[in-house]
Amino acid sequence: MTLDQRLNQAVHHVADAVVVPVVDPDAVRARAHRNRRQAGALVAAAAVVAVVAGVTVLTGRGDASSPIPPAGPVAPSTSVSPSISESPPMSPQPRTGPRSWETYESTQYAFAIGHPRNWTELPATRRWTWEFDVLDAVSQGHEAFLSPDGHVRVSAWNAPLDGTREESIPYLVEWVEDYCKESGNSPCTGIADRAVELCLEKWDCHPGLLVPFKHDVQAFFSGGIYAQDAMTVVAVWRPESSRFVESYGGSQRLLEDFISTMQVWPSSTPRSQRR
Amino acid sequence: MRQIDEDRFTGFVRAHSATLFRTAYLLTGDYQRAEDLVQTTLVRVYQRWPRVEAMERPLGYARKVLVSQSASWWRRRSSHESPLLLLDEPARGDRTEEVAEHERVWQAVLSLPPRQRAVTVLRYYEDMTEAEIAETLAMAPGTVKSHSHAASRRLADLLGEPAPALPAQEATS
Repeated sequence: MTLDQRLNQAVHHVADAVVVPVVDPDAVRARAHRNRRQAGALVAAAAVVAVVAGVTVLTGRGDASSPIPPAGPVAPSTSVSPSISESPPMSPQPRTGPRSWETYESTQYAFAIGHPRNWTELPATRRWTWEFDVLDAVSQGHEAFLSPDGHVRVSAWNAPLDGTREESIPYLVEWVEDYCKESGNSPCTGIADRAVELCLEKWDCHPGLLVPFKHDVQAFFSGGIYAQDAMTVVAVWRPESSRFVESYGGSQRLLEDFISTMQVWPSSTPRSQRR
Repeated sequence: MRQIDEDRFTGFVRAHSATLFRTAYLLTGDYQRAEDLVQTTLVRVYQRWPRVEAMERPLGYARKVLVSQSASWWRRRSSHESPLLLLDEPARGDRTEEVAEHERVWQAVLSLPPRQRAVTVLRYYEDMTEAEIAETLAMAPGTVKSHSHAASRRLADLLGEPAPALPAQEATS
């Protein structure tokens, strides 16, 4: 008997011999509803704390050396100040914008995005889908851009939305949590605490979120001048701590520069600097 | 969700939960963990059921979620894994030998690193092609091939088989 035959027989023998538990569809539904209620409760609690503290803007961690909080149940913050209060706040950098960047027009999605002139464009060959691409960080559905040294990749795409889109931070937080779990990213909890609130468009400020994850940082926005039935996602596939993004001011700064070419800025950016 | 969608989800669970559980068990080698994986997977599928149902292969999507969830478990577990001791049992000429053989091979599969194990399970249990495995594991086909060859070499070594030959184009590269 060949190794292939031995493996084939053994694997099927083990699979056939194991006693399969009965799965109750109602138990699955109950757990799904419970998860959704818990996620909503966390978001609501975080919002209440922010209102009580008089804070109306969520800011993320500016210290590149600070680790992402570990995954797991996250209690709403009880501190008065935003989540970066443990480290001194960074002096706001003037946002002059990457004016010398080259503009790339997507043929798959209705957006244009700027990139540094010496980066390589890797055009998407098709549209992104949940079925084929949510687990793929190098999906063919991404408009991607590669740094000259090949160590930093930035991607942009539209993820189709289900149901009715809401222009609110809680909606975005819940959407990002779902997307995080679907894409196998982490941590998927505490997103409301560590996200940076974004403004899409200079004057109207449609809400968006910039969220650092363990291995990357991503921005999410929808509506306004962009698709109403999709979430536009832009990702820098390096964590803030990576040395490969140091020359760009860190992965969050690099992402902010990319999305500034799409008229998206951190909501703390003064309007005079949104260009 | 409409009642008809709820009914279809119930049908999906009843039709496919056993298959998903067997795959989960082969991926983890742990009954309890396999149960948890299937539950988590079906919760995800339910949360996106209208879209999943409209997919060409809802079971394929569920399997991808299952594998992705099991990968998260592997990352947490990897620091605690200890090498398995394989027993070199003498051959015997009855049914017991067949069972022992299956158990020996299965233990060898369990000793594989997580991705090699996943490629092996999807290849031999799910009968997937290299392209299908690549899509399920969100890997390049070349990466699947590498994991498959590495798994074959390790299994051959553990089970006392001759080392598998590389395909001609790889052998000359």
